[in-house]
Amino acid sequence: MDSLKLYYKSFLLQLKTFRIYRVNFFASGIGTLFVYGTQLLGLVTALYHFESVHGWNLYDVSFLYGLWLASYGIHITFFAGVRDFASMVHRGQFDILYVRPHNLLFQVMCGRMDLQAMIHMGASALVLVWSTMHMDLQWSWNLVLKLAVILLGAVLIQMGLTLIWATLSFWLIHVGSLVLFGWTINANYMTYPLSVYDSVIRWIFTIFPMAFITYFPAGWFLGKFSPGSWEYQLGSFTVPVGLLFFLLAYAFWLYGTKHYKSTGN
Amino acid sequence: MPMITYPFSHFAKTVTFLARQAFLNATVFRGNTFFALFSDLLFVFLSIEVWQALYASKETSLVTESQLITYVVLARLLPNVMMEFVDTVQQRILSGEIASELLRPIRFSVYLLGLEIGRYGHRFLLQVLPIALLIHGLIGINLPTSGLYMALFVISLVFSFLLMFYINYIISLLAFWYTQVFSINTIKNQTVRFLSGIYVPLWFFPEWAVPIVQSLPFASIVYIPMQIYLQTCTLPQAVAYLGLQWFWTICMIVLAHWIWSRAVKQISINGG
Repeated sequence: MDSLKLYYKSFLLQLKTFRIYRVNFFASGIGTLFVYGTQLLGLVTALYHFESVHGWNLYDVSFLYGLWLASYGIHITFFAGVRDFASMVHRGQFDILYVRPHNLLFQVMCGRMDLQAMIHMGASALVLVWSTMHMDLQWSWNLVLKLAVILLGAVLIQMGLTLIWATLSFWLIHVGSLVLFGWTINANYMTYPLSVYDSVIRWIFTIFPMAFITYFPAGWFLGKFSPGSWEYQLGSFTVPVGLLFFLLAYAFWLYGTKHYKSTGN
Repeated sequence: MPMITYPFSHFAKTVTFLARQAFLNATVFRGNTFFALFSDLLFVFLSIEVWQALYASKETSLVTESQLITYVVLARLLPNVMMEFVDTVQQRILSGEIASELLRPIRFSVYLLGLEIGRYGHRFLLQVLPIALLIHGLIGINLPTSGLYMALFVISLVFSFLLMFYINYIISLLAFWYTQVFSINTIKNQTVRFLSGIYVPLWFFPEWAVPIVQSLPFASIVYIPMQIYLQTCTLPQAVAYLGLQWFWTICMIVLAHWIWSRAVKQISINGG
């Protein structure tokens, strides 16, 4: 209960900064939308010409993109502090969290809330609605629940990834390029069906579960895999996979915080 | 600002000196180079597989598969969309330190161009060339069969670099009037990536869009050099392409100088 109150209080504080830097908010919002717009336009242009790739048409691939964007947006809502954690370590601001009587990760989460997340989620909702409108899906409560399940799994994996990058910044200075590397793979390459890649790459992204953000859950949701196939099984298991991945990432984080030596003198 | 004209030899010497310095500077960050090499190699590899799959899904008479793969590899490697100086210049404009640039005995744009040539040289030798050779060894990419086309390609690559440099330079100067540099930089990067044909080769744009996109300045950055490299255009066409590149480069240079002269006025109004 106390934690919730604390989170709410920090949220109000962040809202005040938004009211001060309003132009900044809208300007970066336009930049963000432009990135996603052009990336999606790239996918759409390619699929418009080639019609389909491995049985996924323009709208299916757009759905993959929408799913990635939605999970990224939802995870940023809670994890903006973790995303920007490297700068906290560099400036030595992390030390003070140790003397406060609350969970370290929770404090990092409270430290920053990015209202840009609203823009992410708005954009992703548009992409998801637009792409599913062009499919003959029989909408039912069951299907809505399924969508919620795949989103939850995808968000957990995004959170796990962000937490791993954050933990690495205890040891590495330039985590930024690593984060961009992971982001580029997710945004530009995992938004195509995983089956286009060769078996080594498929294995890598199945074990390091980046393919569980988009390909497996989307294929399961859209009925791209025949029931009983291993892809179908994996697709239905995104939440357990996400949970396991997040817990592993959290264990890594705990290990990192125990071995953290301040950047100060 | 009074125009001081120097003989060309002086200019060439300055630029060579700056380029050498920037090249040596870049060699210090070996970890960065290594990581960039690795990540670029992976991206190139993934792109090849994506486009092979797309190519297999529908018959197309526009290009052959090996032409497409060559395009995808080189389009990822050759252009330098985000040049390093943009960030520095913008920060110096926002902090006001830019005023000290007026004291330099050479034009600011020439100074930056010299540095950026050195950085591109470093990138070309230690990133573009090794990856292209490795991919050529593993998968095989097309090489130009005619020496004439090869020569034209080298010329078009120089124009592509100059055009990209002046676009970056103009964007960096916009910080004089517009402080939200993140969004202008992003819009520049993404526009170039999409309209130059890095994301999707311009061949595959909808038919009505192709003539429009081809004549925009962005096509001169990737699409035109690649058309010449792949010899997918006739010789007169290639010359026309070079003319288009030349036209856009001149436009950007004129625009850049105009913006810079207005910016200088702004400095002398604001500062003492």
